[in-house]
Parts: sequence; structure tokens; C-alpha cells
Amino acid sequence: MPPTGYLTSVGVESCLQYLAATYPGICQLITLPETSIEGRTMRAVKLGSGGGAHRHGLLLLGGAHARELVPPDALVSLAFRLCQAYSAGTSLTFGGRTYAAGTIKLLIESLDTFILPLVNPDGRTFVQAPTGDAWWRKNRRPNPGGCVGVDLNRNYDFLWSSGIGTSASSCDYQIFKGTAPFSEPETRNVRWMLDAYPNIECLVDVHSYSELFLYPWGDDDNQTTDPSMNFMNPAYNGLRGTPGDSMYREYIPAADLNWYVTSGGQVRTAIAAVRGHTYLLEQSVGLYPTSGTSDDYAYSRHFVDPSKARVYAYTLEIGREFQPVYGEALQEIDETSSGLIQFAIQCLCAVETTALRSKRMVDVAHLRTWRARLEASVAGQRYLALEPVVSSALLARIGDDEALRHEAVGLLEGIVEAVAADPEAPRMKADLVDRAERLLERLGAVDDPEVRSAVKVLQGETRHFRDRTIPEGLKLASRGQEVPPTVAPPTSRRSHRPTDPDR
Amino acid sequence: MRRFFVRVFASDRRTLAALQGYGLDLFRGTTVAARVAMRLRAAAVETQAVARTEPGEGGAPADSMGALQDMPWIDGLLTLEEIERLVVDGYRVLINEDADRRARARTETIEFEEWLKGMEGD
Repeated sequence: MPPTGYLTSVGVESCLQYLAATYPGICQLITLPETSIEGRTMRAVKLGSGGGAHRHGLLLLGGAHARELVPPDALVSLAFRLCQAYSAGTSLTFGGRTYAAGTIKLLIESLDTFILPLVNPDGRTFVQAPTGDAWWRKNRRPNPGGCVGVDLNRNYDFLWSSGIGTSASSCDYQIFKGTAPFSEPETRNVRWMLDAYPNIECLVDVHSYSELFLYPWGDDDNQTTDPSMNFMNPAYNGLRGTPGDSMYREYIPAADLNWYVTSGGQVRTAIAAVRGHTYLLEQSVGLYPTSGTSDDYAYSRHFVDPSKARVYAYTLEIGREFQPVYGEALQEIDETSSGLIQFAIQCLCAVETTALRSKRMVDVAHLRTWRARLEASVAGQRYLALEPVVSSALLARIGDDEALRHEAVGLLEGIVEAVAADPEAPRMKADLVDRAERLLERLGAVDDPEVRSAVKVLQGETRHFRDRTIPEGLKLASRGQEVPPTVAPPTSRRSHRPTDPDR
Repeated sequence: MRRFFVRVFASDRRTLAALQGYGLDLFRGTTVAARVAMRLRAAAVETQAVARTEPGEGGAPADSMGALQDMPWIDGLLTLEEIERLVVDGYRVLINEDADRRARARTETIEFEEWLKGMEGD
């Protein structure tokens, strides 16, 4: 019989300690540097085994808003199930969605998954106390004048001083932004996670409710054409925060928007597969703009300081109530788990993960250079736009399907060899193209229509490269074609770059 | 003080945005769904199609609330006094449920040991 009720703050903490003690090889307890306002120790866990220079990191947050009871339970449940399944070598099934044992193994061995399930332990304690308030949202900061609490998800340093969608009144029941960005120890702990683990490149802050998967920006409508119209440009101060007008729209690189929409679509599909609830995938601005939120802050860090990782950050609003009956909460936990495992797959780079599966040393550095060059051609942009779909299909199966893994590793080794032999014009010999075609055929043999469609496009393109150099193939494949205006090439997923050509 | 889960309807987006100045407990995330519904409805009208907008969980039934389906909305948690103030100011408020009936923070809570038993036996 599954659990019958919500965990207390102490219960969430106990769960993290239990996981670290029971699965020491894959679960590491992280004590955050600051205690909460009321002095509670805050902890996270890191799930993962093995090391390596190119491990990607994913940060999952929950429990920032005290009354939203399901997200912390969902995150510790996910951590528990991942540890259990990896250790037992079993698959994970959530309603109509199954993740194979090989996929779980691949995630644990290739990705660092950081889980901070309870960002606001004081708030949850207050909500669950007999003398508390079941609908409390903020933390428990005693403010001057007697009012209590800061909305932690308005306290991050993203347009904090703009006041967009926030309140400067400490007595505001819901959206008091605090006295300064990061005035609260709980948000400083989240910032510390991003600083201390610079390989974190993906983030989901789990909230409830509304059945939404939201991507940046939250302050105004998005636009992809004018990089100078951005949150750092003081010329636009006072003009932000009115969605639907023409005065200001927030710049997001087209490549990033493409990644958000494509990867978000995969997550939405994974959630819907559990019991048929189709979440909306939308920009977070809605009709009420915001500032100071975790997802916008995490994503903005790279633009403020290009030496920091580009963090693809979403907010997931689960379910249809703050505190559903626990039977319903269990369903929402399954949906959340399915969606977040799919997102973890999206965060892995298929090329790097395949390289790790090779028995030979495969240096993918040259391929990164080539990825950048693909972006310069129309056909290359088309291929890169399909990458999130094809990549996740490959990663979901590479752990369990030996034949597929053999083809993928062989293809990667062959391409790396060709690039090493002639970095400027690598030649795609016929046997290499044959291997690519075999891999695509295996990949396309799935039920997912989106994957089949992406594979079909690529299958129609391989002929351009047979016994030709990559530049020759790209030229042939690009002939007479225009770039679709709304789809642009994904930039390199590795974001530790000295400069950012998008800005 | 008794509070109620409500859906607040405004005559237009500007009036809905003005609600931010009231200092009420409104759930901004629900406006994303409202915005999508408005967008879909506008597209349907544009193509002369018959638009059919489903209200969300606990929302206003289209047949009984008539034109509400054309209005932007936001969900919230309000007292009767707050509801009255909004109605006086021209908003329409649909009361969904008494908040106490949805409060499960104290009644459905378990300790870690019990939770673990459930997870291991699941």
C-alpha cells in the first residue's frame, strides 16, 4: 500500500538522510551553508555515480511556497525511486509511461541530479502546525512592524528592483519581495547550489497548481530579434511588465527558445502518458508579469556573466489543487516523476553520453567545433532543430538496446576519426553513411510520431553526404532552402564559453 | 476568518491587471491558462469558427455564467469582505468552495517511517 499522507518538514529531512545512508554509492547528502529563518538545517541530495569533465547537472527545487504540499513529496519520492531502481536494476513505471532499467542506469551514471525538495522548511512546518495557517505561502521572516514572511519566489535577483508583479509591503499576504534581492537565507542557499555546482545547466522549480510547464521570461512577452532589448538594458527601465503592448519585449535567443519549446514538449508528452492530463507548455508571463523568480534568475545568470553556465530553467506547476486528497497527490507525484525523468534525459548530451559508452577514448572536442559550424548552414540549422527529439529518443534506448548502442558508438567513432583526419572537410565514407542509416532505421521504429517524423527528415538527407565532405553535403542539402523564421539553431549546450554570440 | 476559493472575472486584461493593486491572495499562474484560452478563442473568432472555451477545475459553467467565458480570469483565495469589495468595483466573482474543505495540511500528514513503509511496499 503506497503512502497515505504528506510528509512533514522533519519527514522530508529524514528521507534525504535515509537515502544518503542507504545508497551511499549514488546519493550524497549536501548540507546547505545557511539555516532557514527559524534555524532549520537545509539539505539537498546529489544523485549520480562516476565522474568526468563533461557531466551535466540538473537541479530540482520544491517547496518554496509553503501551502503547495505536493512538490516536496514528489521530489523525495522521485529520489527514492531512482535510487531503488538503479540499485535493483529495474525499470520505473508511472501509469502509462515506463523508463527502462538502462535509461535509469544511464541517468545515474551520466548526470548529476541535485534535489533540494524543501526550499521553505519553516513555511511547511507552519502550514502543518495545529495553530498555523494551511494557506500560508511565504517564509517565516519576522518583518519590522509585525508582519511575517517574504515570498521566496520573488526574492531572486532578476529585475528585483523593478517591482514587476511584486509587493514592497511586508504585510502583503502573498508577494512581498523582501528588503533586497537574496535577503532570505533560503534563496541564498539556492544561489549557493548554482555557484557551488557550476555544471548545473538545467533546473526545474516545482510548484502547484495549474498543470503548466513554464519557460522564461516572466517579466514581459518574449522576442528573438533585438538582443539590445533585454533585462540588463537600463534604457528600458519602466517600460517592462506590460504583456501585449509594443513598448518592450524581453529578448531570448531563438536557439534557446527552440530548445525550451522542443524539450518542454517532450516533458509534456511524458506527463500526459501517465494518465492523460495534458499540461500547457507556455512562456511564464501569462497575464500577470513577474520579477524575482527562480527560473528567470537561473536562466539570466549566463547573460549577466557569460562565464557562468547557461541554465535552462523551467517552472512546473503541478496538479489542480494546493492540497489534494493524498490519493490524487500520488497521481500527481507519478506525473511529476515521469516529466522530470524525461527532462533529465533532455539535459544529457547524446554525443557525450554515447562517447562514454565507447571502449575507445573518444574526444568529442572537434565535434563541438563542428556543431558551431552546422549552425552557419541552413541544413545544419534544420538538423540541430531536430536534435532534442532525436537525442532524447536515442538516450532513452541506448542503455537497454545493445544493437542500437553498437550502431551509435560505431557511428560516433567513425565521425570523430573522419574529423580528426581532416578537421576542415571531413569525408563521410559510404560505410559511415550506411551506419547512420541503420541507426536511423532503428531509432525510427518507435510509436512516438514526433520521433518518427524527425527521423524521416534525417533519412531523406543522408544521400547528400555519401562519399562527400561535410561542407559539400551541407551545401547540397541547403540548396534552395530558407531558414524557417521561428526556428533557429540550438547553440552549443556546453555553456562555459568566454563570449556569447547571442548577446 | 473564512476564506473561499474563487475565480475572479474582469471585463478586460487591463482591469484584470489592476487587481494586482488590491493586495489579494490571487494565483498568478492561473492567468497563463486564461491567456491561452483567450488566445484560442480569438483565433476561433477570427476564423469564424464556433468557439468553445472550457472553464478550468471548479470554473464557471458556460451555460450558467454566459459571457464569463469571454472574460479574462484569475483564481484566488478570498474572504467574503474581499469578494464584496471586488463585486462593488465591477468584478464578477465565482465562489468555488470553502477553503476549509480543501485544507489537508494537518489532516493528511504522516511520519517518515510510515511513508517509508508505504514506498517499500508500493
